[in-house]
Amino acid sequence: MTRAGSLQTEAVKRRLLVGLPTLVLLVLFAAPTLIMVLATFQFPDDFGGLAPAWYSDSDGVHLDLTLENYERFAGEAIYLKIFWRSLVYATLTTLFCAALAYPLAMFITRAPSRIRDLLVLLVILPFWSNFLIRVYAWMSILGPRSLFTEGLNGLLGWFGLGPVTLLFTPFAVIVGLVYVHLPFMVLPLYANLCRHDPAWLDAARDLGASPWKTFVGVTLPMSVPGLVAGSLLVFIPALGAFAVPDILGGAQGAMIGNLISDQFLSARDWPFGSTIAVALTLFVVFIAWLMTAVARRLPGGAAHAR
Amino acid sequence: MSLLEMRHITRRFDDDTVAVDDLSLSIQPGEFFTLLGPSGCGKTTLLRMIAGFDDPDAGSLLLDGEELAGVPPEQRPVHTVFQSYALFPHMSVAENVAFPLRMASVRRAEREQRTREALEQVRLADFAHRRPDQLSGGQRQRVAVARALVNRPRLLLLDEPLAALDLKMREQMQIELISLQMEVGITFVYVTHDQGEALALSDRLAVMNNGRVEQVGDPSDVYEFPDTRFVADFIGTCNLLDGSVGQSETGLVYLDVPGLGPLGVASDASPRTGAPGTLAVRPEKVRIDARIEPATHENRLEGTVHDQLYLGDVTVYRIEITDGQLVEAMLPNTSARGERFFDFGDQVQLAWRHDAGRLLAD
Repeated sequence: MTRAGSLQTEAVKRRLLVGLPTLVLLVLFAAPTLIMVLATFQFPDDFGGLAPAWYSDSDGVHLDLTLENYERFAGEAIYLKIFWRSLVYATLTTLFCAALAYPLAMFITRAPSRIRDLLVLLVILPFWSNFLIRVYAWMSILGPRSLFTEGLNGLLGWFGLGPVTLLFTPFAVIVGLVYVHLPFMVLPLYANLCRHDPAWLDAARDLGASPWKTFVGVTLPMSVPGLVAGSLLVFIPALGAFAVPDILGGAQGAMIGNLISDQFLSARDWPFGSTIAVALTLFVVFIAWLMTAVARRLPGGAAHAR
Repeated sequence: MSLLEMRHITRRFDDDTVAVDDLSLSIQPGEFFTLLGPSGCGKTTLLRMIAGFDDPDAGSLLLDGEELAGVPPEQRPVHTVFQSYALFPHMSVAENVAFPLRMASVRRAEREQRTREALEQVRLADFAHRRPDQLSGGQRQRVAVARALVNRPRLLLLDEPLAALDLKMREQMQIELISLQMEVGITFVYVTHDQGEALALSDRLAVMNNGRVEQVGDPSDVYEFPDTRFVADFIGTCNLLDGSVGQSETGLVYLDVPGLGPLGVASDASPRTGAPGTLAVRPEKVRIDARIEPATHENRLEGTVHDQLYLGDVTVYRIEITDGQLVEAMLPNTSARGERFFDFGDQVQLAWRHDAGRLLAD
């Protein structure tokens, strides 16, 4: 085969290699998203589903679309309130995950190499059992008759406080969300901290930094990319969570995810469900952009690190 | 008073290996002192104990007469240039250099001025705003030196700082380090396994082996008058001829070396006759010629050229004296033609002065 010919085959191969995943993404991601966006302008059908986007009569074809769904979403306080609540829950979840995951990731990084892999395995071990089962397990841990709740209330009683209810409260939702999402914070942080040169710590101490200043001045800024990655991996799914608030939150703890699933499963209002979903997606895109933009400017951020 | 006093320092690790074994050394103010030894000799462990990253199991470390044990690294007036440089990648060159000043709470104006001065000292003033990953190896090395010097430590430790550089850059940095050290007047303790570097840089050096100091002295002392077989062998190359002490007279000992006969070596010691001994003589001290007139105060041997190593500036000849007994001689290549003075199998004579050799007692 000539050289030009083989180059041509190379180009074809390369296009196939990139083309197939692109096609899959188009069919499985872009198309459904477009359908969902279109649905937000449609009317619900009488028994769920979507009413046709157009109809035709003797005058020709007419579009049958509306902005009603967006007006409804923006107009009713309850939706914005749930949106806001979800934002607060997801933010708290991210913060608690970061606070718990950071020391854990540091501990794993500095553990002797022979047990390091085992510790990482333990972090992802919960994935081996079903997500719902794990959340239901929290239901029995936080339930009023559980050893944990009774012990806690006994302790509070000593101080003349309580008793408290744990299950079906915002507390239970956030505990559940933190529990479920913790590994997604630990793993990127661990991956980041692993790449830190231990000599940086020695150098900082050597040049006059206390252990705390070494952490604040070197370790923390250098781990910003890991923190940002972990925060996105926690914040985004936590914002859209629906099983955890459904199981642990009761009536008070509903989040956007519950709102969306209710629209599809109970209210049978697909267009409005789609509208909330699109609003959520736009918001998530905005947050992701904001976080990466901020991180890029921070010391140790993507603009500096390789 | 010496600046740093190490007294009977011992450091063992978990598996009972002794990294530093009852070591005592004192380092004088203002000197360029080198710890030289093969990897695993304990020199890096010793350096880490001086910096404060590790503590001796026994013995004491005194800086300006004050015990260092229990003082954390950040409170020791000792800064280190690390082998990997350990520059902070998220900080610019200037921020890296200013780091020790910031930790010492030096006011901003003074901090900036001293950072600038330190960068000028290492000729990197134009690179202040670069990131470490935008610098070459040599530049990074100079940033590390500036950063370690900027807060004027009592002692600067350098852990194989030139190991990652190529040969030309290494030679240039050696010259720069010497002039920098003279300029700032700070005591340098330099760790290396490279004997050439140690000889070129140091005011004094300590040769370490198995956690102990084999010999301390200025470079020419250690090179010309090695005390032990290890030192003779580790620094440069050396002919080591084993034998037993024969007759001796004032200032001169004859060593009976099997196959070579009695060889004279200048020595102030008066070892017992029959005691084992080794004659150490460096190849460049050995003359080689087709015929050498016998002379007093010289050892003379005959042999055949066994092999030769053309090294550009010199040629090393290995001469077989008797079966298996080889003596190395080094000849500068004074002719530009690259012609060989001797060839394989040539019959040659060797000679060296009695005072060119050194008697090692083992």
